Amino acid sequence: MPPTSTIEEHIPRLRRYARALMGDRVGADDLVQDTLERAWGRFHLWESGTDLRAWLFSIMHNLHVNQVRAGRLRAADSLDDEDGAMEIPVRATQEDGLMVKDLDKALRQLSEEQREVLLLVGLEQLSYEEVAQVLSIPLGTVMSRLSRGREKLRALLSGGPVKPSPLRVVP
Amino acid sequence: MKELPITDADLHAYVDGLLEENRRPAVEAYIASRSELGEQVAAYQQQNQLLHELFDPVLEEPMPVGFKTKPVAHSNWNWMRYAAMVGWLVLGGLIGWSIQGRNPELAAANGFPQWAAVAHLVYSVEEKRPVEVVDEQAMVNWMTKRMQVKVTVPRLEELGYSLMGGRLLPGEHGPACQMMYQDSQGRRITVYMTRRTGKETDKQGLKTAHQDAIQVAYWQDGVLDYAVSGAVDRNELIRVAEAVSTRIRN
Repeated sequence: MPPTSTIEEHIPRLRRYARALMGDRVGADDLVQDTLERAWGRFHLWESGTDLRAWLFSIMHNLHVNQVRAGRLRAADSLDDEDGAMEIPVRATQEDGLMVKDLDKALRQLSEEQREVLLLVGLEQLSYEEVAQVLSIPLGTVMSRLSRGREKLRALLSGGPVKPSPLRVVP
Repeated sequence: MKELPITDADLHAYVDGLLEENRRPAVEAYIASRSELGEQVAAYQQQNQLLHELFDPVLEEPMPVGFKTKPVAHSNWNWMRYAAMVGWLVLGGLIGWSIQGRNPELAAANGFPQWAAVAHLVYSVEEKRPVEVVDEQAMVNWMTKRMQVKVTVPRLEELGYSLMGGRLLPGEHGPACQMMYQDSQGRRITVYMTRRTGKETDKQGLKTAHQDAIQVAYWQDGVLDYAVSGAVDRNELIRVAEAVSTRIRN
């Protein structure tokens, strides 16, 4: 029964996620390297048959949270789940190239929690259940962070105020 | 049948393609009926698309200089393991010699029971670290992964032996694993298994050999070679080996 996927196969996707999460290339690759070191060292703790990618993302999440807590990252990234006071609308434009740049700026204005959920779902295409598992949070929290994050991003990209979703959040 | 109310979670699931198929028509109809929802969904879909445009190129980026894509031996720990292995091979050689002199049966048995006996001799006397992994499930996962075959840990409580844990070892042709058990008097027996490289040579035969006080009972089953070793009475060891061989099959 050879393992169907190895840690190394996931490196490109870990790099993509880390880059989106942190914004800067060097910091992101450092986070990936730390994640790999830990994963190699603890591979015997991985339960075979479970999703290796989700396991790797959860290692990366824990390392990242520790980094943020240790203050190694910009203080503007608040750890709490509330929308911060700093909301600078990003210039609205319909042109795709510019939208992409705007998105990068807008992403930095989300809280760590919102950004993580938004990226794991929208970029890494994890299911909501997988995100809950990776981040060790309830499914309802995943959905509310996703909802707030997307709405805030939308407002930032369109230059308008952040509106609550017209539909209520059902956990 | 009354439809469940459409929720925010449904909208997101729709955007992410995670909506259950039977719920899709109702959600689509609901979105179509309210223009602000249509805009919201379109905006979210665009976010996902932009995320991919922005970050997918990272997938193709070359690794940065100095980036390690494989585990690298960088600590004393690995060096010490290596040293221990060399010492172990030397010891194995010495015991092999002495077995050959006195016990041609054990020496002739393809080397494998010898390795099991040496492994028993080395680790059963350990006070501090008789085993490397204590957690049974972690041990099974690890061994299964390294041996590339499903490894079963036989329970021997009925025979008076409780599981202490196990470790992975260098075997003659690759990884081997050893599980250690202890009775109430602290007597230890070990179950040793390794993948066979050659064909099954003798089916269903349980054989025994001994080196001084250490008894070894060994047999073949499937792709694995098994041996049970212990400084116990030969009949006692056979009783344990029979139990192990039965339990491994079930």
